[in-house]
Amino acid sequence: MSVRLEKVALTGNQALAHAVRMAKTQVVAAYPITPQTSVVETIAEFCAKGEMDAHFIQTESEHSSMSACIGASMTGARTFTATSSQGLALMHEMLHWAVGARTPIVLGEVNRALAAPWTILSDQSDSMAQRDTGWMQFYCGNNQEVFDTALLAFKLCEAVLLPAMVVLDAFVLSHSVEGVLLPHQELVNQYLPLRETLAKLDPDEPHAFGGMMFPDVFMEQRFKIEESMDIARGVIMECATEWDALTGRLLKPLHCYHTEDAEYIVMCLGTAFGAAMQAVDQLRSKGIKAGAIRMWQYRPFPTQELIDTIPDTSSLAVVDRAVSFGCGGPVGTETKAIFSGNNQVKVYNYIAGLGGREIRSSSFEKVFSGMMENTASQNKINWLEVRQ
Amino acid sequence: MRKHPEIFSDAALRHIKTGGTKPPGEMTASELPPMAVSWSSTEHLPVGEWKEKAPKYVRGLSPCLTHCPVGNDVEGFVSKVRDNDIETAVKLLLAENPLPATCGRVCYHPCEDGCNRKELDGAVGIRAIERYLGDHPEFKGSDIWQQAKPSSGKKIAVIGSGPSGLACAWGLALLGHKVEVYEQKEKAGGLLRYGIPAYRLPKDVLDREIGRITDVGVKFFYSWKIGEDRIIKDMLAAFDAVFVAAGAVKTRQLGIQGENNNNVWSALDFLNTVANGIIPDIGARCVIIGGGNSAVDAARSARRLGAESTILYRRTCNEMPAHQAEIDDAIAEGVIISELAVPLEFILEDGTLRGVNCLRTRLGEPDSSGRRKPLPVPGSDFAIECESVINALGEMVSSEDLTSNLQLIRAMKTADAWGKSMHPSLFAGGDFTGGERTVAHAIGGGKRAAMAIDRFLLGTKNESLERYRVGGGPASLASYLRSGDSEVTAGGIRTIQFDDLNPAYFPARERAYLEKHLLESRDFEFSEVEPGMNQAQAIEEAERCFSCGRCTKCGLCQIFCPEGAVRKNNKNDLMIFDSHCKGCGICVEECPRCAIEFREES
Repeated sequence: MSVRLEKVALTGNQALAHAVRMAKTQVVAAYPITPQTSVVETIAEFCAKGEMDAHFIQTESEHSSMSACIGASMTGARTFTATSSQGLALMHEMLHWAVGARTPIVLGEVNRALAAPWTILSDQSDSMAQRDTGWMQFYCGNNQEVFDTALLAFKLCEAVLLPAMVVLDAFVLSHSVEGVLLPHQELVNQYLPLRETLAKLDPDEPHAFGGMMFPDVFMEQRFKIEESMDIARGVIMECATEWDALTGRLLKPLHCYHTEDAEYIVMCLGTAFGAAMQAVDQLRSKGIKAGAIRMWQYRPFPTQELIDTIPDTSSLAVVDRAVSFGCGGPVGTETKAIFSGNNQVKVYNYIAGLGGREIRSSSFEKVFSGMMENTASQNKINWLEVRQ
Repeated sequence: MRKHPEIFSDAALRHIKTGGTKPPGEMTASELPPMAVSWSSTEHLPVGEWKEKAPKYVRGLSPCLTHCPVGNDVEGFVSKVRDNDIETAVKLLLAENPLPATCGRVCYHPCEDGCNRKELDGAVGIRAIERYLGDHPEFKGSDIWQQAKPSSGKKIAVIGSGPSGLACAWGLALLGHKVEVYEQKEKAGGLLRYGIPAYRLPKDVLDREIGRITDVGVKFFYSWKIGEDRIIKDMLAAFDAVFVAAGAVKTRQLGIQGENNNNVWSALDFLNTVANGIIPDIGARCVIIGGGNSAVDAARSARRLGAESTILYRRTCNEMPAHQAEIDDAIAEGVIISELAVPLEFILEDGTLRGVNCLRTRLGEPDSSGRRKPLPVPGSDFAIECESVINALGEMVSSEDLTSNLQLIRAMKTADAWGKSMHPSLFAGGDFTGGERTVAHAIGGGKRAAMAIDRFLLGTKNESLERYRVGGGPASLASYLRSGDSEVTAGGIRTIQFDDLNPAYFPARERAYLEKHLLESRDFEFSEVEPGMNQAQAIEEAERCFSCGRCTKCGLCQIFCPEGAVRKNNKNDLMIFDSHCKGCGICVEECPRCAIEFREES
């Protein structure tokens, strides 16, 4: 098959909407919230113009959006919604439900800090707060990756019967225009065939879903979710490989920059990675063996990939854009846990970029010097560029 | 993509499809399906036991039904038009009202005043829809309504062919009786023909309506003067029953000097003359005294004859009993209204009318009618010059013109709401029996009398007719024809208000307004002012009807029921399965038209 490509200038939100359109999504239920709104607005336009044959439901709240998505997904429909911040928080109850009902919903999550105080700017506190719901999470680094990740997410979710969030930074991706390669529809059709469902809501073969489960089977159901998360690790690789073969673009759990021989490594999620690479270049020019990692796949957590990537004797600073108060950054604490038995890898946890504060290359340089000069603490949270 | 049996194994799928082979508690994780899913449908879960309240389909009344003085099944015929079932709509309408083309033009549409849609974006244009049905050329009376009951062999005389007499005759004919209508004038219609001007009700329209009544076997006798040609006592002997609806024809006197001048007309005489095609000489200026509908009719008719018309009224425009739309149209056609004025005397020169001397009034405290009483303002005399005056103070009933028999006069004057008098076979209606003097009220009274006469002739006399009232108001002939087998006359039925409805399902949609052809210059033809709707317009307007209180089988309850307890039976009727309805009330909440009620479980 010929790979016909069309490069289009799109914002991250538009790229996501195009992926939802090309995935032939059948039901979209959503409620507007900045900075997500233009995702579903664009989809609504596609529907209105007949470019997309989906049921578009505007609900009265995000809780209802997710509820509608669960119902739709249970009928076997390919289902999408998008939200941000308070909207995602309002969905919280139904996020658990979507996982327990094993509905492969894809959710576009545009990272925005949670109130109070009010802000519409980006950090990852909203999506990180949902890490225990059982949703898979992928943090995108650019608009092309938003598009690619969304298509992968549908394929992955439907294979493992778990829902996934495609996460992108507010404004830096959601409202910034980049060139995005849109594949030919036939290629997407080949990559992502129509959804097949083994058990669904169907008047012709009635079953009741989500009924009460007693202690004799409840834990088995929970075990199966974790088991599916494990299976998903492999399925993600399969999906990514297949997409790479079709487009030449490989989605990876960890995107690494000069990590092979690195002595000092910074790790972040999302768009801050650009500044991190700049800082690495700066240090490398001074002969310092610096490296950087961008974590794309957050759930399931890329434990083995991290172990395989981090050199034996090195220092790793995890820069979190969210904080679990009284403990540390979510990614930092989890990474520390992995290397807790390894005395040779020192793990530091930094908190930075909350509420839209910029993380510059100079910021990362401070992180590197904290590790190199031993001024950073391994036991406590290191608050980057905070006036104390 | 590879299958993952750990997630959803064939064994798990088999369990779902065919039922479990062992208890779930003995199954391994891979034998279990990934989600909580039952092996059968929810029919096996009789959650109906949970409920404290149960939804029930109930018929409520649309307020248009209780507001219609005729007793038309308004929601019934409007919703049939909405369904493009014009024949059934006409049939429903004619079962209650033989004069839809007439009412569709001249009725002051109390139905629209009651319409719940007025709370949203304007009442449904019910009168225009009724007119469309009444004007429909395809349906003759005999096509739509054959005699509905077998011939009774009884014979009834109807005195007067106004709206009340015509409605009574129609009702009696459908009930299987022979009816003879006796009319004093040369043609039938009474006030409809000789009072209401042709620009509001064209004569050919009225002819078609009367044709429909003759279609079902009613016989008309014209130029019969009751009291001279035949006396009521003889008629009572010759007929099984007599219905008197001779109307109010005696003009109230002004009681001022010069009243008997040739150029001082009574409104009835003036309108009658014009209706007969004679153009009376009223000169260039005409003063009309009074504020009712006949004053406005006379003033607008005088305008059509080319005269400057001035209505002299003792209160202000706000207190005029005439219908507001008629007043507005009259003003738009150039009729002048001189408010707060009473005539004192006519100015005569050598027997020729030159004008009216008047006195200004001011409004005092409200009188017994609730309107503020006009009080003369001393020294405010003024004169209006004119060549003619029309007295439109109103008309009175004059039983004495019909008979000199005091007993019968008393009987007619005491007739009840069903037209029953102290004389067993004498019935009365229309303006004779008091109440509001509108065409619709007259038709309602005639219909009620038809039922009372039928009951007197054939029925169990003691059985009350009240059970045929719609929501305790107007009576339904259709219900009577079916011996009470009717939803709208059921006891305890509730009238649905706007707050009972779910307006989320009724997007705003403006009411259709058709442009009137108001008078621009002299028009001896009295061309019709209001245009009618075509079928597409009528359907479009009917689509605005909420169908308050009646299940239209829209099926929203079925869509929303979380238990699948709402089903359609083989007749396409919606049913709620008590065993599976858990009493959540979502159907009650969602129903757009309040056709489901939530009742405590007993």
